[in-house]
Amino acid sequence: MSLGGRLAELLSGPEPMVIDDAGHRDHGPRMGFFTDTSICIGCKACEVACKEWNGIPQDGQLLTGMSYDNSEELGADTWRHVAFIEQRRKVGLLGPELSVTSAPSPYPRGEGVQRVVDGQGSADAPVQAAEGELRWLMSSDVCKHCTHAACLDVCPTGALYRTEFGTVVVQEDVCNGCGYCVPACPYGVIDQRKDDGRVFKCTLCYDRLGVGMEPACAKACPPTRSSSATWMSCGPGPMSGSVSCMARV
Amino acid sequence: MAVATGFQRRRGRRRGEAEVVPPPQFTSYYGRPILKKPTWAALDIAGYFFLGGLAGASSGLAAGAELTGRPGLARASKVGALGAASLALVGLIHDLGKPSRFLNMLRVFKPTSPMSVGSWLLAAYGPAAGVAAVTSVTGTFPRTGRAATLAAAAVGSGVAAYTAALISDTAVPAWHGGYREMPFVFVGSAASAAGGLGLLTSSDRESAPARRLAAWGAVLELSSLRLMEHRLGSAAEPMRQGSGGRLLKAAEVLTVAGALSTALPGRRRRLWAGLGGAALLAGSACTRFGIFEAGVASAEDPKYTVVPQRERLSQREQAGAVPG
Amino acid sequence: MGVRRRLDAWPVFRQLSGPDRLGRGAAAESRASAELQPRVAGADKVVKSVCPYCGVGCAQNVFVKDGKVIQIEGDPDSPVSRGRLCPKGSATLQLTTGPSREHQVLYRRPFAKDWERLDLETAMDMVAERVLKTRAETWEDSVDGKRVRRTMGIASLGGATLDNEENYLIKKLLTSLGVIQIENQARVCHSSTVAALGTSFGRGGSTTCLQDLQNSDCIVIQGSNFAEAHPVGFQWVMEAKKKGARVIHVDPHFSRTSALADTYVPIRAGTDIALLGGIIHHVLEEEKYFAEYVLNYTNAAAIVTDKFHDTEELDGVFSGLDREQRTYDTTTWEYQGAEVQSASGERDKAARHMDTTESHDKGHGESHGSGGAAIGKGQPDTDPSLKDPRCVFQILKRHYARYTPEMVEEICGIPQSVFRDLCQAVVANSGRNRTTAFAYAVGWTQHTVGVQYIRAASVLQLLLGNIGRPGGGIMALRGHASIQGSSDIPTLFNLLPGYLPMPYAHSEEGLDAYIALDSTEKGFWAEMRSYMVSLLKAYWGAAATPENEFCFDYLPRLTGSHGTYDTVQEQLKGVCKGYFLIGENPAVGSANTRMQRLGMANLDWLVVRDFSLIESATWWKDGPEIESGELTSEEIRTEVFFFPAAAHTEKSGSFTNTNRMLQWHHQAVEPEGDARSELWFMYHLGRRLRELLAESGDERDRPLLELTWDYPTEGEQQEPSAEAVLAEVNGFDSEGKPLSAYTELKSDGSTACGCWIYCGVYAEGMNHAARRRPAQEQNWLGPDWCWSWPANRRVLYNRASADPAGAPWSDRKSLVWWDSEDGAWKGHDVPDFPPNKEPGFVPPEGARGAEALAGNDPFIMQADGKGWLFVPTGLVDGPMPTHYEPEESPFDNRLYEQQRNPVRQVNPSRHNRYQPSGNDKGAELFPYVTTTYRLTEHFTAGGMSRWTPYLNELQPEFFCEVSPELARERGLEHLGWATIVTARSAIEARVMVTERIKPLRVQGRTLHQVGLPFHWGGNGLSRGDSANELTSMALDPNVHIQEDKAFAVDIRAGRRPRGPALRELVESYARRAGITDDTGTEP
Ligand SMILES: Nc1nc2c(c(=O)[nH]1)N[C@H]1C(S)=C(S)[C@@H](COP(=O)(O)OP(=O)(O)OC[C@H]3O[C@@H](n4cnc5c(=O)[nH]c(N)nc54)[C@H](O)[C@@H]3O)O[C@H]1N2
Ligand SMILES: Nc1nc2c(c(=O)[nH]1)N[C@H]1C(S)=C(S)[C@@H](COP(=O)(O)OP(=O)(O)OC[C@H]3O[C@@H](n4cnc5c(=O)[nH]c(N)nc54)[C@H](O)[C@@H]3O)O[C@H]1N2
Ligand code: SF4
Ligand code: SF4
Ligand code: SF4
Ligand code: SF4
Ligand code: SF4
Ligand SMILES: [Mo]
Repeated sequence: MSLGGRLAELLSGPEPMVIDDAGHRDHGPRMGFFTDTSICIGCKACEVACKEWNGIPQDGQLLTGMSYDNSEELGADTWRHVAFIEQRRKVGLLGPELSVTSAPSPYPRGEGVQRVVDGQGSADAPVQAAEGELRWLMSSDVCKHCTHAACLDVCPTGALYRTEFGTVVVQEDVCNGCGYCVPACPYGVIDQRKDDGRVFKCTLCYDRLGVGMEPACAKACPPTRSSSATWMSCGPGPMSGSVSCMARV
Repeated sequence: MAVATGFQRRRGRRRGEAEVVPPPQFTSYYGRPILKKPTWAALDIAGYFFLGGLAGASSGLAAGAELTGRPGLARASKVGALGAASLALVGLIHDLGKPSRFLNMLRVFKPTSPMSVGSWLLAAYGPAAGVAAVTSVTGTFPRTGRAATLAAAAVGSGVAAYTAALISDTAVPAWHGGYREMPFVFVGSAASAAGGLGLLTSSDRESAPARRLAAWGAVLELSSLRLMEHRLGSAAEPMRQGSGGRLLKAAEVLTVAGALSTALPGRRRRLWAGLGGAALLAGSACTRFGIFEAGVASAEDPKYTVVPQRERLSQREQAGAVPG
Repeated sequence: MGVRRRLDAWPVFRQLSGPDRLGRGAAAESRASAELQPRVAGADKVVKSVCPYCGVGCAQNVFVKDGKVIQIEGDPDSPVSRGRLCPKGSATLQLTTGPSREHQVLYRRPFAKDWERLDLETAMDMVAERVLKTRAETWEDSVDGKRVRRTMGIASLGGATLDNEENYLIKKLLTSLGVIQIENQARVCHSSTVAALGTSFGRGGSTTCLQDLQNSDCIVIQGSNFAEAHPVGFQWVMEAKKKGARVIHVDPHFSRTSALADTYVPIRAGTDIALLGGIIHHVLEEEKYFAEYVLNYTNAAAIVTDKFHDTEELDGVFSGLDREQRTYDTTTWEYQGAEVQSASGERDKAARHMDTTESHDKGHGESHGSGGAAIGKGQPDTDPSLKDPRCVFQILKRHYARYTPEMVEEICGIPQSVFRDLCQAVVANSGRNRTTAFAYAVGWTQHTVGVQYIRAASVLQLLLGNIGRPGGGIMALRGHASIQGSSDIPTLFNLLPGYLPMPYAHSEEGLDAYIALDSTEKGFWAEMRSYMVSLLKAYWGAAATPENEFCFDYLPRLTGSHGTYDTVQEQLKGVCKGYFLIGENPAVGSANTRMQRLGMANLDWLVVRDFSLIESATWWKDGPEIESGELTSEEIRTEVFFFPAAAHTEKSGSFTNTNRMLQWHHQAVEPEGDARSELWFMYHLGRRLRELLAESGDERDRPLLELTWDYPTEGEQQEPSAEAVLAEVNGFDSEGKPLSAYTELKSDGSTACGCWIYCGVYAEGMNHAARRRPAQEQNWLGPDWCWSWPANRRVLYNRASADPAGAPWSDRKSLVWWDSEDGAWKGHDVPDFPPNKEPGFVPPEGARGAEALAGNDPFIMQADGKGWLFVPTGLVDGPMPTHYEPEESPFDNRLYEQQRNPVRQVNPSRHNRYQPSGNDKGAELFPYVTTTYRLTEHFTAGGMSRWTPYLNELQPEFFCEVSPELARERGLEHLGWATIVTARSAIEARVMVTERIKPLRVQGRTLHQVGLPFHWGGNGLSRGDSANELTSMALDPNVHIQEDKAFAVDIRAGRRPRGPALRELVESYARRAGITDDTGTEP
């Protein structure tokens, strides 16, 4: 590959060897989250498990009125966030495609909600109330550990770096709170903890992965998981019944 | 029943407030920001942009002045550069969440990070500008001083320009979208500031380069700003509204006035030059603060993220590309 | 070297020298990252435990380091939870180690305005002294000439959060003291379940287990907010859905459960019997029932006496109603059979011993928790052709004839098309090849006809042939971590361990009469005497001899209903003077909380044991009555003791989850400060009392002094050994050898057993509840994971999974079957049947007990071996479910003249007024139906969630849910305030306007429903009014459970008044509606 081509790969487009490119040798598969919002029960166990494991402070008690979401958004003290969207869809609006719809994504680039409704051949069709079916979409959001992570790229201190699992982690012993990563992230994930000065976000439970434990949030997540394609796994769960979270391709 | 959309939600309202759990036609999740707005304090960071630009361009002006035999202008510019650079550094460190870890800026050298590159530039620039200023004031080590002056001038142009790359390399719509013009805006703004400082501090006899620099900078700044606003489309809105808009308006007035006043002939020429220099400095500062504020405003309102995205998407769709 | 190392520490150098040139990966790694270890890596030990919140009973691993708990997470080996924890389970670390826990004994002097500190030992001495004093003051040797040897002066409440062993000691000690008002959450939670499932099938527990739901083809979730209240159990619904099952949710409010269901059916709260009756009608009319199953395994063919008259004939009531006494003469509902007449005569005689209060008591339904109702001698006449007009099948058909789709639509607000779809779904998914499961919880139990709701599902499931089969059954989703356990080893007034009834006061009743009244002729309940004698031996050991009827006489006697709501009235009357609250928060959780507090304000002393200062501990200081000025601290004479409780990580013991599964949790660390377990508290209180009375020669003290109370203690804190208690619960023979099955129990006093249905949990001296064989190594039922009662069976009545000849109904639905070669029942589960009884077995004439069970009698605890479509005896409000309107309803009963359950229990008083209903004048002031429910993020009355920061931030405030239409009608604003009013009180809540609440068309008009999560109270990190300020004490007559799931309210915009104006508002409503103490109390 030409130097130019190589550089282009390092900076954009698909980067299949992202862990090697980050200079790690003898590493395992890449870790990441697969989120199946169709079976998320909106229980927020992922939020609590994350806070318990990482000792994240409680960040305020505010009734937002945003359906059952009172965590509002990802941030320095919310590394997992469960979104709730109440939606009434008029019958016939989508014609025959009604069974597979994509909810308006809370997130700009559609990495968020893709919900399969009634995808699993229950014998008889669900009853549709005349006004249209009410849906309550719940989906758990988290740092995407991007292949081309803007936060990481711009970090001047190397506090943000790519680990041997291909994840993007803030090293809290290095971060000097310059804040550059904050506006760099296109998903509004990472943020500064004001009273501390440093920035925080999901580490994909770097410490746990290191000893073969699955991320705290994924472990708690109550709904089922198994290996079938559509039902892959719940929220933060792994792709198959394996113990750690999935290897992202 | 009023439909609450992202566009209707304004800062004055309580978070997420609407008449019902809002229906789904929003631009973003309950109209909330998609991005995190910068954590930076305007005074520290916009101030830093301004001072850094002033310093870098002043070093260039100083070198020019020195090489063309204008010691007064050179000395003033060197001192100004050092002063501005020092103040800039104070702002920078002050803004850090962990100021004690300032030196971590030199822990890695990251070509992908404008801030990292800038830190290394500053690391090189600071000593050079310092030596240049000190030797110039004390008159000692002229040769070292000359070398430092040239070095500071060379690195200084980088220092003046990199902050443009720094803010463009974020997801903030008003900054990111202007990535092509931003360096010209910043360099122009730096030049007009340095020229302004030069005009303010130099004698009439030596002020010609400063005048030229100021004029050139002002033209560059204002024209690229125009171009940028045009190209940004709807994301330029915060550059016309709110505090960002007011600051940029002021910047335009001050810069134009400053540039024109320096060209005024006659008995009061010296006075006009001084006033014009001050206006140029203020104009440059307003530009940086204006762009800073506009950026923050564009990050706070999700429409600046979503609408341009949709525009791009529909353009692509019209062009027959597969929707992403 | 040094330079190199130092250079190497500089990432820039590593960038230049290594592969990570851009400095974005390996080169940038910091020292801390390189050395990173998860905090559990350094744990000294991992202790096996169980989540202390809900009845799913998720297994936990507790990581301990340096004597501190450092992390708690799910145990992936559990066949039920598979390592998952919901948000509450995930917050267990914060619950148990967070700063909200109290570790100091606190004391409030009479009339004081604040707490003071007290040393633990002193406090224990003071409590012991108070107990003896009150007991002495209030002792009753007899009532109306009948021996009772008891005290009504002391009561205790709480148990569902506690270990089985703790419940066992509470019941044992207090019973020996003569205390009868012993109650726990089971009363307010699932008491209806025990009576309904017990009379229908012979046992009062869930007929199936959570994991087996994965085998369902259709799951109807009705009366349960499954995904929110049993989130981890819900994974098995999702598992079934994944396999193609249809999931239907019938609920007044669209919840997270509805969001995950294939079909959501909104229903008017309080009308499920109309809906289920409609489905029963459909199944019978369209002949969609499972004929072979119905004929063989149910009592469809049994003939009912000609004294019986149905609601069809009597416009909504059954024969035998005495309106004056508000009771039914249930003998008119009995089977017609060879010796039934004489038998019932005998039982009549026994019944006549009861005084009127007793026949009022009606609390007997729950005693069928593990043994069906007695039907007398012999077996009923039957008509296998099902044609006899007096056979159960025909009666059923007539009874439900008017439950038509039109009627369902009128009453429930469910459109006929939706109703038909529902019928088709359950019918299409039942039969030989397919099974449908029903899952319910307190959306069904908490009604004035709560028992009959569950009965309706039982009838339907029997008709469809879904009981005892994989993927079938009725999943009763129990509430607290061990609420099933606290029903099995009951801290309930009317039960002894293993659902043996507490004896009533009769003029001459001894052990024989007691046994005669309740035991059956046939099946395992025929051995009731062995169970009872073994219990008495466990209580009184050597003192219990055949000569003294094993101290049967030591048991205090009941004279009526002494449920928790009765206790409140006794408190207000000044009869009950001392109160133990052992892990229950009635000032928030019980109906009509104001009355609860007024009752407590009239006590001499109150002992509260809890983690934090819950509302029930501080009402004298900052309760709503203090705020309104109705009471002042200086006037309240109640002495209050607060004892900090130990958490589940700080003690060993077993919880029984909703699968009837006992799971042991091991102590991980010792409790800090004054915190102690209930086991410690009860044991040492008992020890003190026995010491204080050691010299007493008083007859009344003998039960206490002769009680076996010699548990070994461990450690510096002298914690009694929970395992020793479990061993006693399990039982032992005369040599002290642990028993392995209840079939080994004897009636001659040679065995002792603290709870016969738990016999086997400690077989061979091994703690089977502590077994943790990983799920991955066993079948889906996880037989080697802990231990389920009875006899480790996971799916009850599984004999019914095979046809009468013993072969599975289909391959797809096989569970147990008859292996003719081995002459034994085999299968994936422990067969719930005598292991070698062949399918075609016909009992010989005169056989009794297990011997009398025929080969096709799958319901081995039933008096006739059959599932009961019709309950001839055992319930007090009807043999078949009948739709009545709730106590308070904006609608008239469309089906009958009879508006409400005629024998429901009402407690009229000025603090507990009811509202007019239907077309009665004044009802229009309360036009909206309200229901109360749970949120995933909070737990019950809030003691375990409102003090937990991570849970509070997720649901930080009390709110009400209303539709946009209602919001418009009443000017309610999203996130604004609303005031909700009933005849009891008015509360305020933030408003959540949401389309999830859907207005219904009922009887031609629009009905709005208001949804209220009930978790809030005045203390803790997030505060708000309690929904239970609004609810009333209107109770199901079988089990005395309150109706808090359907009542009528008014709602208005804005905050509620403060101070005296609050009562004025409530009074103004009462005036306008013409409410008096008698309103709504007519039978
Ligand atoms: N997160 C959480 N989990 C819990 C608890 C908790 O407090 N929080 N508590 C535990 C306890 S103690 C218990 S008992 C269980 C209770 O578990 P659930 O019974 O599932 O809990 P609820 O939400 O009170 O009520 C169930 C549903 O019944 C509906 N309902 C109300 N009235 C009617 C009616 O008339 N008909 C029908 N069909 N539905 C009706 C309500 O809208 C609600 O959705 O949960 C246990 N688990
Ligand atoms: N309106 C309305 N009211 C309801 C219901 C409803 O659906 N609607 N549901 C009803 C139901 S089902 C129930 S079960 C009740 C529940 O009502 P409560 O049982 O009163 O509620 P909890 O908050 O669970 O109270 C249990 C207390 O025990 C404490 N505790 C936990 N573990 C221990 C321990 O080991 N030792 C001691 N000493 N204390 C401990 C907890 O901190 C908590 O304060 O509410 C009932 N009330
Ligand atoms: S913080 Fe943002 S940019 Fe960085 S990895 Fe996460 S999602 Fe990507
Ligand atoms: S705030 Fe910390 S992590 Fe973010 S860019 Fe700056 S040093 Fe890196
Ligand atoms: S992976 Fe770990 S850090 Fe990231 S959200 Fe999940 S629990 Fe939190
Ligand atoms: S992702 Fe899993 S844990 Fe998180 S809310 Fe959804 S179901 Fe619950
Ligand atoms: S509260 Fe219930 S579902 Fe949640 S973790 Fe505990 S036992 Fe499991
Ligand atoms: Mo409960």
